[in-house]
Amino acid sequence: MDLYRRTLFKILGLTAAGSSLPGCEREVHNLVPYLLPDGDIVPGVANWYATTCQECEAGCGTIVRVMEGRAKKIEGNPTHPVNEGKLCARGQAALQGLYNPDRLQGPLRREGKRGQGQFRPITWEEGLSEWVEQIRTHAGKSAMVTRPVTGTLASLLTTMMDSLSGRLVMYESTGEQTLRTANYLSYGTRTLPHYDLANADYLLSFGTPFLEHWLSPVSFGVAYGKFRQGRPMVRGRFIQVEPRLSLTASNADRWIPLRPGTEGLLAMGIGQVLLRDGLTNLSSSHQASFHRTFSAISLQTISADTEVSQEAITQIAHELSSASAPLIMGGGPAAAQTNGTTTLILINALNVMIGAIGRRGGLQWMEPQDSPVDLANPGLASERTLMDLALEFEQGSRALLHLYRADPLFTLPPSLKFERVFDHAQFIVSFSPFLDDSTLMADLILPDHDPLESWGDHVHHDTTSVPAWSVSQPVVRALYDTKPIGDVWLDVAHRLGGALGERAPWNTFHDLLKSRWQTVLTKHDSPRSFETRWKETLQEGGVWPSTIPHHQISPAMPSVTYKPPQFLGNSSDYPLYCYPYPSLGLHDGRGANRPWLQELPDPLTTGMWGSWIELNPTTAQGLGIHPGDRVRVTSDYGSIDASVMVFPGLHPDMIAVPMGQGHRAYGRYAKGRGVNPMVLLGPNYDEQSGSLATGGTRVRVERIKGGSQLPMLEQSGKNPVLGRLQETGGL
Amino acid sequence: MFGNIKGVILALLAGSVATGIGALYSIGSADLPVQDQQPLRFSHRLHAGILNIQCQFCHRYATQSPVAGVPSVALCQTCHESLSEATPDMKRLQIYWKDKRPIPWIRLQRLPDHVYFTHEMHLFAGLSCTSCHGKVDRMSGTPRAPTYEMGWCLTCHEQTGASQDCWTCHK
Amino acid sequence: MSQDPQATDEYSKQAASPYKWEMVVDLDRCSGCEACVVACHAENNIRISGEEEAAEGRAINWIRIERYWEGDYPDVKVKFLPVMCQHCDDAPCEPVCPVYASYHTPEGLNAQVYNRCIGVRYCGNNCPYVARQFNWFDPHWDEPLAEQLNPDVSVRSGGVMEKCTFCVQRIRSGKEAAHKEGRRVRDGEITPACVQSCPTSALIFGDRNDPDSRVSHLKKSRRGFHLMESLGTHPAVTYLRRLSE
Repeated sequence: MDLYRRTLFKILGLTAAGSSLPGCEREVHNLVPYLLPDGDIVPGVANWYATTCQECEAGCGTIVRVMEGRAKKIEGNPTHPVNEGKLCARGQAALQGLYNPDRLQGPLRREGKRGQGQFRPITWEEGLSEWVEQIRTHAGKSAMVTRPVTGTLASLLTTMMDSLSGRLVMYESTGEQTLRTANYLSYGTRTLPHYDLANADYLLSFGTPFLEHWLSPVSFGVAYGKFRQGRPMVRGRFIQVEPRLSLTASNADRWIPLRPGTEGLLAMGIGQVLLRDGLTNLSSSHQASFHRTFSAISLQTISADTEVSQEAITQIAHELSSASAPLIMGGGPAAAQTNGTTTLILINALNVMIGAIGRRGGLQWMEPQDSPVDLANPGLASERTLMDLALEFEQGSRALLHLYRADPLFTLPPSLKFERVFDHAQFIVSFSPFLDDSTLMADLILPDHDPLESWGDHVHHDTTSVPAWSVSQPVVRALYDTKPIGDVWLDVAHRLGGALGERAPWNTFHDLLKSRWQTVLTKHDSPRSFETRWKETLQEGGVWPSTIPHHQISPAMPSVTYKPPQFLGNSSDYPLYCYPYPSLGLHDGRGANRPWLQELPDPLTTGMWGSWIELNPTTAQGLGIHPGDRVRVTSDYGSIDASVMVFPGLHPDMIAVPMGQGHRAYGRYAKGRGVNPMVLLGPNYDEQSGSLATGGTRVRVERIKGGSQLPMLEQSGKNPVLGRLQETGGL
Repeated sequence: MFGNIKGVILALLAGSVATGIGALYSIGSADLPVQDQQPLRFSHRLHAGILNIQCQFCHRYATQSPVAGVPSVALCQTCHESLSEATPDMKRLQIYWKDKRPIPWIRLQRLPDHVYFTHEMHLFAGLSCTSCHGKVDRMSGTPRAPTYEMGWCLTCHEQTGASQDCWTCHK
Repeated sequence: MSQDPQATDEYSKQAASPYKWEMVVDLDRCSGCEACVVACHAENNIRISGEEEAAEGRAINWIRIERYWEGDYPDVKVKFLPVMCQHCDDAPCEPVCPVYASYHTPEGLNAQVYNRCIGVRYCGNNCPYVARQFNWFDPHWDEPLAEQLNPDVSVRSGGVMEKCTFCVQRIRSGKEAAHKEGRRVRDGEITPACVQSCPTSALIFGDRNDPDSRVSHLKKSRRGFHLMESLGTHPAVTYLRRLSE
């Protein structure tokens, strides 16, 4: 930029001090012509490539704007049935994963002690041969911990681990394992239904953060817009039941706070009123069995334990029955208690009582469809499964650990002692593109390509209205000396030979991907050649039929006994419940190395670039704590220090802390920033699903010395960006 | 005594201000002709003039993109492959082709980052290349372009009734 | 006062502009998810300010989500308000600029010409919506983050005021495409980055001169209002009230 006037000031200011112009301006002095003209590429004109977002498990369809070989912008794919052209903050920040300054640029071998973070660059040949050596040494003792993957990569990894007699564990801290377990018990399927929010006229949500990160947040966002203002004369009404006023709850017409862990009890109360007042759609023969479950506890007791008035409970029940298409959703924090599965079974039963199963504006399951790729998904692992894995490492039946885009040392509470796996593993291979907290402990790092540089596919089997199979394609050439994980596994299979080599006859993952898609794209009586269909599929981003028949579900009769939630830590030493929640931008921490997401103000507190502790104003006052004070939160398992934000929408007996900060590694933007609330949590589980009860630990808060101002968009006095508009009155 | 010191300070200040203004004026004229030395000598006079090759045969994106584009080595080769006459510069071209290296041409037509200019719309409006670039078919070397100043752009915009709104060209 | 014929010409030319760009924000749809904020950063080369600058209140957002608490626990409510430059028809920022860097385009956009700006910040001081933000330093991107920068948008250096442009680069290319086909821009053809990304479709953009555009229709809604209407700035952004009990 050669800006005349400003340059004048700059130079006058600087010459006296004897310094020269800052060299931030990158002037292009050279023209870069192409050696071979590419018919598709016109310099100066953007190309858009369809691919699939991999920032969370929803797998939204995306299109990426590419100019002269660089990815510039990601938008939603307008024709994709999951997100209809829309994309969330995290999805758009995927560009800062691709161009992240802290990406690993090639294979690395550990030097010095494990965890010291000293690595030396090696060649791929060195890396792969050492890895093969280790697989041979530890035959039958492999294990792999990965983020959930679907489609061709899932089936490749399953095949590989099967052949090595290894164990494949897919883990996601917000994987809704409890919901899957409850749905299996209620509906006979672990597949999550499509919640037809767009066509519902009344939504009762028990804690589901569906506008933040739950299951498929962009898809829910699209449906929410239609639910509110998409139909003439109908505006959906929305009630959220949750101890904290989350971003989702703040959009509700009515937020009903309750005692943490009593969501199931409230569901029981609502069901009781529905039955009592004859407001259900149940046949008389079924009513008796529902009566047994729902009338076990008196409404009076329910009201006292949940802290929700009997009037409110009755009102909700009557609103449900008078709505024409009511929908009930439960999950997220409502299930993050020791009684999570029971709670969700009771909520599921409510959906049966209001006739939401299979109904438009209710819950719908699609017919299982032929998938272009094997649906060999081993399912998600619960924290308890991870503990089994840790035991196997301790006992020596597992020795070789593989890590793929999972960071269990950061996302799991230290009280679970998952580091046993790392202590006992003879050798650790990580395919992570970043030096995250777990990869820091690796012996060998074979970094994967960025998703925007890779081939892949995504099978949508949960929560979508139509089955969709999306493809991912490289939109830019690989920046560094990295290799896609699929190629690396195929290479190793060839090196190992034998049965494994036979099961993997493909040269590259791309060949494997195409061969899988060939079977399907040509099977569906298409007269055109596969290559034509494949090209079309890549242009469109995948295949999805317009409509499919719905699958009939026969719900089971609920036969559960409500159990109050169990908390770790006695109430006299630890008077407050700890409520960690995934941050809007950083989620469980995977977004912490993206500066856009670090600088994205939390919508409720407006905090950026750090951690904070949320306290109810009355609670803070009682403890003599003021906003901005530094406090220590202590549980039986650990403690964290951070500054306080007074948060009006929080149950007085709780503290809430956003997750995602407090990394030991993970690059310059994440490392050493803020605190990780997982440190506080104890090993408390939901019995039936084996999921960690993240809301099941008690803590205490005390003021400590010091204090540092957390950057906030809202700054009283200093820069009153907010507040000046209060006078509008139009809100 | 004190007067002396004041004088020195004044002189120093004046000197630094003069240096500042001098530095300011040297900005923009910092591009010395030596930077314009292209990796191989290319003659527009020969190609566009004598051989009468149309501008857009080589600058083929001009009608569909903001940038006109410089030809790829492959495009040069479509003609040069069958030419036997070997000048040193043509030999150099063959070396680029053999090494599969693009030619690192020096950019001679520059606009600052805060200006939006599109060849596409100017050609669509019926302008000819020579209106802005001059009689390229008579230039044997590749000359540095004249500075495209705003007043010069505006004169034409005014005469032709094109938009004179700042945001048409400033981004 | 002498009549300047050229000024009259200029005025009539402006009035004859075929487009008037406006936006509608439906607060009943907005969920506060901030997808628009990141979309804007990606599209418009907005700098990464970093922790220290953000703590000084110098983080730059062309669009921000304002949050208002109402009431006390347990009857507490939150309201979100996406705020970007309101592109006022009578913009307080324009007459105070000593170098005419801040001006109104014939299509109703409140423009900032960066190469004119000398950084006196009068415009920012005069903007009641705090829509204008100042670059205290030159921006910096750790390599290779700068590979992502959008070539259609200037990188603003230190000492310059910057603000939302309604993604003028997208308006420009939309108009060019329409012009080449000899037609007007179609409704919905041009979407600023925030509008494009918004999952709930709370943001709607279009031409008010087109009576059939969605913006023209929604502007007439009984829920419509403008921010700080009493100031008489006549914003080009219309908000639609959130319905509540």
